Amino acid sequence: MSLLFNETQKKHILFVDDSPVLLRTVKGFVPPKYKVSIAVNAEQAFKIIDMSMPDLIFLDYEMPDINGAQLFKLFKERPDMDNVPVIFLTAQSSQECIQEIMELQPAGYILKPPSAERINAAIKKQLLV
Amino acid sequence: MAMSYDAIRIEDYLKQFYEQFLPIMEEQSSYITVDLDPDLKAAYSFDVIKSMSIINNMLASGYIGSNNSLLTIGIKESNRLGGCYLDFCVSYTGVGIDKDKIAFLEDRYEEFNIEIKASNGIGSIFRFSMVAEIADDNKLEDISYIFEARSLMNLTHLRIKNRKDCRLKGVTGTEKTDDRPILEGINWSLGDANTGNTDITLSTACRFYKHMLQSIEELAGLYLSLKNDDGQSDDYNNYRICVHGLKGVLATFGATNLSYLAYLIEMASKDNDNNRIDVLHPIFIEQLNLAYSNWTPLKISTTKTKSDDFDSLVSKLEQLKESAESLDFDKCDELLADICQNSYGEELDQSIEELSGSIDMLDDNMIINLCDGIISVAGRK
Repeated sequence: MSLLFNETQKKHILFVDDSPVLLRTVKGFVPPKYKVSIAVNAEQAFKIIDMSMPDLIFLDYEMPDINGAQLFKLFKERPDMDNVPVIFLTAQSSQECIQEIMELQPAGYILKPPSAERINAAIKKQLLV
Repeated sequence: MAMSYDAIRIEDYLKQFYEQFLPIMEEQSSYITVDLDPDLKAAYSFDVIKSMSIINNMLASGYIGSNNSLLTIGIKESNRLGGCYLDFCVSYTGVGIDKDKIAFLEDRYEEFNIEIKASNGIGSIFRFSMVAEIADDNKLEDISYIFEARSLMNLTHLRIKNRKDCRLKGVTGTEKTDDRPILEGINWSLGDANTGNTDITLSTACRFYKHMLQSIEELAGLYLSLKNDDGQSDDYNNYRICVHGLKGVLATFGATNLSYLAYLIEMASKDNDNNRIDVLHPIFIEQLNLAYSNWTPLKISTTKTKSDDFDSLVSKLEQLKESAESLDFDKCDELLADICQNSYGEELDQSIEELSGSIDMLDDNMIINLCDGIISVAGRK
């Protein structure tokens, strides 16, 4: 059995965060068997989605212009994205904020700064790969 | 999720806790001390696994804020919420504490062979609490989670004096060494705990450093808008999000003091509290500038070879533009690294430096514009 994955076979993970430094860091966490895309804003996120639908999205909750909650709702308005799991990344650990996030019913949330271990555990759980 | 209640003595609970966390504490050079209320009842009945998991999260958050990885777990009965509660609290003792707690903490840390030194400065009392109402038969019910942060001036800070020599009792630790520069304000181990990889921690710090002055300038500009516009809600929001972003990246590579200062400002801007922002903002800017001058080893320098192969440059820039259009930033990085091996004269080198900045910022529109500009200049050569 070949252990090599070509680009089209790879599961696609999209990270959306307004911090380019953080995006490049978390991208480095993910093993090469996944295809990883990064976007600093909603416009880039939708451009990537239109080119190649992700299997999993990590979404920053606190972003300027369109924030994580608004973008999440825009994702869910698209019928083709209904089954794409979204995990929020947030630095806010207050009960109030976590409650706000959970009311949106995402696939989960990870507190920032996100560790490689947590990101990869979430990927394994969601993609079962 | 169904609750699983077990009657357990608090001492036994702590023993379990320490067994679980000692290896982590050793690995991260962190120290957790326990402030146990002597009047606690012998045993309580509660969901041990769930509570342990919550305390684990509270400690993880605590590490982010603590500048010395010194945390205290307090367990006490409390009436402050109008009923009888058991309060499991994680406090940051490395940032700022009440003066009357110093003697107690000195004794506690002495048990771990850690000598501490107190000094005054800006800080905050910072607590994560898990509280549970004590019902009949000492059963703990309705577990909830409370976060409290009070920013105060002139708090007492604790510093470890004999950090290098101290070890946790009963644990033999080994000093981890690597070839990264020792830089004031960066705890590489904490960064590694986040990134899981020493190379990623270092490259995150280098990338942040490259644009650090730009970030400071942006923050200063947003602060000015806040002052000039008399504090509109959008201004507070923009300023807060900028501080929030800095906080996250700083914490990622282990610059926890600066990250914590950013956290205090973020909280102040969330409350639209001008007075706190006015005090903290200049300190943050000053500390960022100081860090910039102290962290010069993070500056990446490259040796370039002079080239006049402008056709090749144009071809690479065309490819780079296409990569930006398809948001393939890996390809952009790769092509830029190739381009940057050569020097094409002062004018073009300066534009390529700008292009490098826009690739770092993942600004696809700017990358495309700059590519067009450089192609036009290089095409005339």
